[in-house]
This record gives sequence, structure tokens and C-alpha cells, in this order.
Amino acid sequence: MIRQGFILCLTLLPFISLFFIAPSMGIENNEAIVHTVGLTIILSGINVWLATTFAWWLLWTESRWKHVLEWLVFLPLFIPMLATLFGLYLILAEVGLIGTYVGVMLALLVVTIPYSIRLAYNGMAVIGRPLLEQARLLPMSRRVVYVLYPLFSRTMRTIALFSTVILLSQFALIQLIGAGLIPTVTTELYQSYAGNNRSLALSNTWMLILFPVVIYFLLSGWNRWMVRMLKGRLQ
Amino acid sequence: MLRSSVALTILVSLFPLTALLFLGIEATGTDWGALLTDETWRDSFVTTLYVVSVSTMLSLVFGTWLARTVVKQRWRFTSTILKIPMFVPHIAAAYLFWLLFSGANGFGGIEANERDYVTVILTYIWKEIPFVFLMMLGTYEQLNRGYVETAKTLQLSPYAQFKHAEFPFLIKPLLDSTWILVAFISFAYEVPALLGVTYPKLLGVLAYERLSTGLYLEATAPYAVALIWTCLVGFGVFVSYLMTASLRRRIERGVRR
Amino acid sequence: MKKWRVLFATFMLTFVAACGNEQAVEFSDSFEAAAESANGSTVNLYMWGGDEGINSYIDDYVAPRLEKSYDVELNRVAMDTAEFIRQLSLDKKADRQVGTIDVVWINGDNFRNAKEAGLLRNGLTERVPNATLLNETAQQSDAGTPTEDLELAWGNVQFILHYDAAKVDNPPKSFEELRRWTEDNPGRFTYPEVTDFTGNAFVRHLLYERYGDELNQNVTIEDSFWDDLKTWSPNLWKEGQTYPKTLEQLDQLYASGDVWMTMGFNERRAEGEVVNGIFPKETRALLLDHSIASTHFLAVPFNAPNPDGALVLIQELLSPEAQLVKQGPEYWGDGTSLDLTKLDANDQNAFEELGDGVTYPNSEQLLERSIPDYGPNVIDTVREEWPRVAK
Repeated sequence: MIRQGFILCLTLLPFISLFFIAPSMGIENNEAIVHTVGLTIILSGINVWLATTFAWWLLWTESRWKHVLEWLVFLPLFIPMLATLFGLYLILAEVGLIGTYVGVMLALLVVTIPYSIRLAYNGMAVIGRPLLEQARLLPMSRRVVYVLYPLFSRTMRTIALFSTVILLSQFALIQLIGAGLIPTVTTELYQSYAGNNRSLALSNTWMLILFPVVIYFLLSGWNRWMVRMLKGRLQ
Repeated sequence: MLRSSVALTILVSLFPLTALLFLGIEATGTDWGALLTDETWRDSFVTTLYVVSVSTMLSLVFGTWLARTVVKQRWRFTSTILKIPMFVPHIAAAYLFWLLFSGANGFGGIEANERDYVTVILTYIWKEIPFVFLMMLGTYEQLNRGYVETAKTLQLSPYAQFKHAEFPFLIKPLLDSTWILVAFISFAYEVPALLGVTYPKLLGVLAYERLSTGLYLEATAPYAVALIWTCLVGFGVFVSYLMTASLRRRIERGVRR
Repeated sequence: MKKWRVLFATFMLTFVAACGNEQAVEFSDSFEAAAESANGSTVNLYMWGGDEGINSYIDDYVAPRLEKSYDVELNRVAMDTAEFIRQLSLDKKADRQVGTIDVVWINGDNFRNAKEAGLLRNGLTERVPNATLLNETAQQSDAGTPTEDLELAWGNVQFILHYDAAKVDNPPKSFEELRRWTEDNPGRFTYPEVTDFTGNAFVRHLLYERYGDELNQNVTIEDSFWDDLKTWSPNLWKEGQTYPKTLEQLDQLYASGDVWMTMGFNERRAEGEVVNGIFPKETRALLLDHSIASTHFLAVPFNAPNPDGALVLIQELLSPEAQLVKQGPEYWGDGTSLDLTKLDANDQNAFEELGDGVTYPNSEQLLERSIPDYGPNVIDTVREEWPRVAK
């Protein structure tokens, strides 16, 4: 009990800083918030889709490329972020995607997808092939809706959450690839960390911390509702 | 449908490798001799090694220990709380620690912005323990208790029990987490930029600054350093996975059965 | 199988289609033509965004005016100067002829770099009518680099220190006294790293104290100078173990009372901070032996997508009304780049009536002690050699 208490205290201790000074209210940059929400939804969606399909494919494929491809999608995790960034800029500039939503999306996808695939693959491994094998007998749509979705909803939530957190951590990437034209909560707020107004910086920190929390609760609620609805339909 | 999204995923994954190629092109023409003898880069390299190894080691040890204890003792609530820091963005975490340890709020005699990089390491540990914890949690939850029971019946010492009945199953997730952490921490910018010192800087900060400040605008050295570091990490990844390959394969087969 | 081939093909096609290099957009021939073609367009102004006063000057004052007089929408993009210069140089590398940036706020070594890398357009003076009102000395050179019509002066400021009079009883009067003051008050003074614009300028003031103008002819800084600077360290904030990365971080230390002095270009910069309660109430100006005068500029990148909009924006920013509001205490307090003698009597009067703030230095003394900046070579040398002080 004491040990547990100690661990909990250490984990939560840094959050004390949030209460040192009163945060300033009234930073409302709607454009940045809209962008962030938009990017979060699209990015999470694509990540969930691509990662689960890829993990599913990995699980069943007999292809001799399996191991090569497994490594290929895993490899980006080992390449330092800043190293990829400048190369990405040159590539995307060549294609004319600098300063566009699509370019930023693509760059974000590059940094999030390896994590998502890992999470998805681990999630499937936990459920195990035998259970999933039975699901394969069902037609595609029924398989996804009645078996895979309920089984993976937690993994999907984690993937979405991870993508959100990584998105919220990107300053250099969004600023450079987005050419400053796609402000997100992070890029807007990063300036305040460097600025001289502590309570503004603190209120921004609140925002960065609360954003994933809100996403988490929304997704949990959505999951619960969906699963309950599906169960109801089955009965 | 499935195939097209698999192809798309592969295309996206090819981007970073192509980016590395561009990086290589940018780095040509670097005076490698001068780079290796440059004291600023060297000091930064040594400090980075120190910060990376200490924070990675500690995160791994604590993360694994916590996962093990949580599963053993069935601490459901603690397990939930422990995951929280993972969902705090790095920038925000760095700022929290900066507030906690700077100026008048200096906490427990530790101060931000000092040369031992204690606060940087603390931030990373706080952020990465939950990550390791999560990676290990799955493994521990699936761990076949039979092996531990066998080891106990054989009256092995607790250390030997861990070594023979648990550790072999941890190799894969441990390796994964190690290299992810090393790659991430070694070239990150935000945390050391906020909590670090003027000299020596960590590699990520130094490279980023050399690329953006006037004098070095056309310099190839930062690209070269990024490339060298990536190669080093890549080499480490390759060797460590190769060395444990046969062991891991044996265990995977065992688990599947 | 078929489906993913189709997908792959479309993907490659988009690549090929996008690769065709676009032609750069040129300026219109006259300002009138430019104003007409810019009508209804958006212009992207890239500038450092760390100051609320400056930001709201652009967003709340300039943008509505531009919309009203020219029907041009102003989009301010906050980005560090070095960052957008890097972006432009990457654009150059990738041969991106139609970029994103229309106007940049720039000066000093960043300008020197941009000029050397060929990132800016020339011919601004003949295209912007208000350029005739500019102060010619200010317009001529940017910290030692000839402007050569690649940029137009936007503001004119001087370097100044500020201190908290509630804590500092006998403020130093010279740089030598400042050093002795740090000995008496250890930990209460520091300056930003020399990669920062302001930190570098502080070290240049110390250089001027020792070398005067000489350094311009021959940029060699003796080891003894750096050894002397190192003697400051034990008495600086955190014993000189680390320095604030940026001026804003120094300001933050000053605002929270950790250090008792701050510094910066723009002699009027503290007024707004005091009014907003960020800086201590008793903040006062501290003018030492000499003060570098610095001009900052506006420029148009080689790949500006809307160069005509850029001209219209610059014309507006250099108008006497906009310059007057800029110098006033309401938003920014940035000194005008216009030559007051070229203005009509009304405008001249308006500038004179702006008056003084409590944190302003004595303007006559300030002018007396004003010195021109060293060239970018000195900035580079300081950047290269200073790290031994921080070691």
C-alpha cells in the first residue's frame, strides 16, 4: 500500500506545476483549434485504418516479403526525427505540397504510422490467431462490425490517442512542412514557451494536457455506446 | 481494398528512407576530419551518450519492474495512473519540469538548466517509464506462469528465477523499447532545449541550431552528424537483433504452441 | 491486385504532374497596376511573433486598414527569422519558384545570408512610393551590409538596458561599472546566448568598449578579451553555467525577479510590458557608454506568390500614419524609419507630440551615444569564439 502510494505520488508530482501560477484565460485562436481538431480526426482515422489493415495482413500473409516489410514499416522508429525532417521537406517541396494540409498530413503520417502498426500488431497478437481465424469465416462487413471492431476497440482507441499525442508534440515538423500556414495549438503555443509571459505559457500547457484527455473520454464513450448498440442488435 | 491500403502503408514507410537518401546527398562534401576533431561536437556527443544511456537504462529498469509488480500484485488503479504521463506531450512535460525545478520553485535541491542534465533525464524517465511499462505489460500479462512455477519448484534463487523463467520472454519487447527510446531521446529538440545548458548542448539541439543560425546556414555538418548518428543507431539495432535472433525465434515458437 | 496497381499509378501521376516547375510571379510595372492586381488577394507576412504588442499592431491596426484601402487580406504568420530563411534556402534548393512567403521582416546577419544566397527580390525603392520618405542613412546599410534595394527600412531603434529601480539603488553608468555591479550582486545579471540577436549585440557593445571602430577594418579579437569576459561568469545568473537561450527567456527571468536587469533593441520596448504588469513597476532605462543603433527591414522573397500584394503591404507599413501608430505607446513603441523632415508639418507635429514614457531613456543622450553596428563578420566571429566563455 505504501509502495503504491509512493509510486502514485511520483507519477502525479509534476502536475503540481500546473497550479503554481494562475493561467491566463482568453487565449482563443479558433483557427489553430480547428486545424488541430481536423488534423487529429483525419490522422487518427487514417492511422487506425492503415495500421489495422497492415497488421491484419501481416498476421495472415504467407508472402516471403513478410519479414522485409515488417522491418520496413518498423524502421522509421529508429531514424531520428530531425534527420527525416529536412529530407522530407526537400521531397515535399519537389511535389509542391509545402504549406498544404496534405503535406502536413503526409509528414505526420510518416512519424505516427510505425507506432500505430506496432500497437495494432501487438493488439492482434494478444487476441491470438485462433479466435480471429473463426472471424475470417464471416463476410467482410459482418466480420469487421461484429467481431473485429468490438475486439479491437481498445487498441483503436490507443492508436488514436497515440497519434494525437504525437501530433501535439510536433512543433518543428508542422512549422516547417506547413510553412507556418497551418497553425495548430502546438505551433501557436510554442511561441509562448519562448515568450516572456508565464501565465500564458501555463494556460497553453493546460490545453496541451487536456486535449488528449478529452479525446480519451470521447473515444471511450463512443466505444461503449457502439459496443452496447452492437450487442443490442445481436440479441 | 486490403492490398491497396497495405501498399499505401508501405509507400508512407518508404518516405523516411528516401529522406535519409536526401540527407546523405546534403552531407556530401563535409570535412569529416574537422568534424571529428571539433570540440563542440565531441563534447555534445559525449553528453548525449550520457543522457541517452542513463535515461534509457533507468526507464527500462523501472518500467519493467513496475509492469512485473503491477501484474503480480494486481494493482489495477496504479496501472491506470501510471499510463497518464505517456499522454502528456513532450513539450508540455518539459515545461512542467522546468516550472518545478527552476527559480524560486527549485524542488529538492535540483535545479533546471545545469550541466549534469539531471532535469532532462528526469523528464525523460517520467515520460518513458509509462512507455516501457505499456510495452512490458502485455508481455507480463501473457507470460506463462508455468515457467515461474517450475523455477520455484526447482528452488532457484529469485534472481535465477527471473533469469530463466521471465527474462527470455522479455528480450523482444526490451530490445524494441531500448532502440525506440535511444533513437527518440538522442535527437529530440524540445526537452533539452528548454531544460539544457548553453554548453555542452545535446546533439539534437546543436544540429538544429547550427542549421538555423546564420553562420552555419550552408553548413553540411549537421546533416553529416544526423547521418552518422542514424548509422550508429542502425548498426546497434542490426547487431542486437541479429545476436538475439535465434533465441527470439525459439521463444516465439514456444509461445505460439 | 488490380486495385492497388491503379492506386499506385495515380500516386505516381500526382508526383509527375506536380513536378512541372512553375514560373515565378513577377511584380507589376507600376504601383497602381500592382494595387489593382493585388485587389482581393491575400498577402502572407512572415515575422517573429514573440511579442504581443507587435502582433496586435499588425492584426488589429494594419490588417483592417489594408483591407479597407486596398481590399487585400493580411495573413500574419509567426515564425522565427532564421527559420523562414532556412525555409527559403530549402525552397531555393528544391527550385520551388512559387512559394508561400510574400513579405519578411528581416535584418542583420539574416539579411546578409538571404542576400548572399539570392533569396530576395530587388527593385523595391522604385515600386513603393513611400520609399521616398525613408531616412536615407538608415536605408543605406543593414548592420554593415549594403541593402542594395533588396529591403526597405521599417523601423529604427537603439540598444538599451532596463533595470528594476526597486531593487537596484545605484545603477551602473558604464560597462565597467556594470561588471563591478555584478560582483556586488552575484547572480542578478546575465545576457542571452550569442546565437540570439540581443545576446550577440551585448557582447558587441563590450567589444566596442575595447576596440572602438577599429574592429571593422580587421576582425581579430584577442584572447584576452574572452578571458576578461570569462571573469564575469562566476557572478552571473547560475554562475554562468548556462545562459538564457533567447531574449524572451531573459525577459522572463527579469519579470519573475530572478535577475534585476534585462536588455534589448528598442528604447521604448519596456513601456508596454510595464503597463501590462509583466515587467516590474519600477522598471527604468539604463543607458551605458554607448548604444548600437539598429534598423530593421521588410523584404520580398524570390518566390513570393503574391509580389504585388507585398508591394501594397509595404507601402501601407511605410505610410506616416502607420509609422506614427507604430512608434506610439499603444502597441509597439518602435522608432520610425522615416525622415521626419520629408513629412508635411502635420505629420511632423504628430510625431513630436508622442511624448515620453517612464521607461524611456533621455532621448538626447541616447542620440549622442549612438554608434553604428559592426558588420556581420563581427557577429559571426562572436558566435564562433564565444562558446569558450560558456564552457
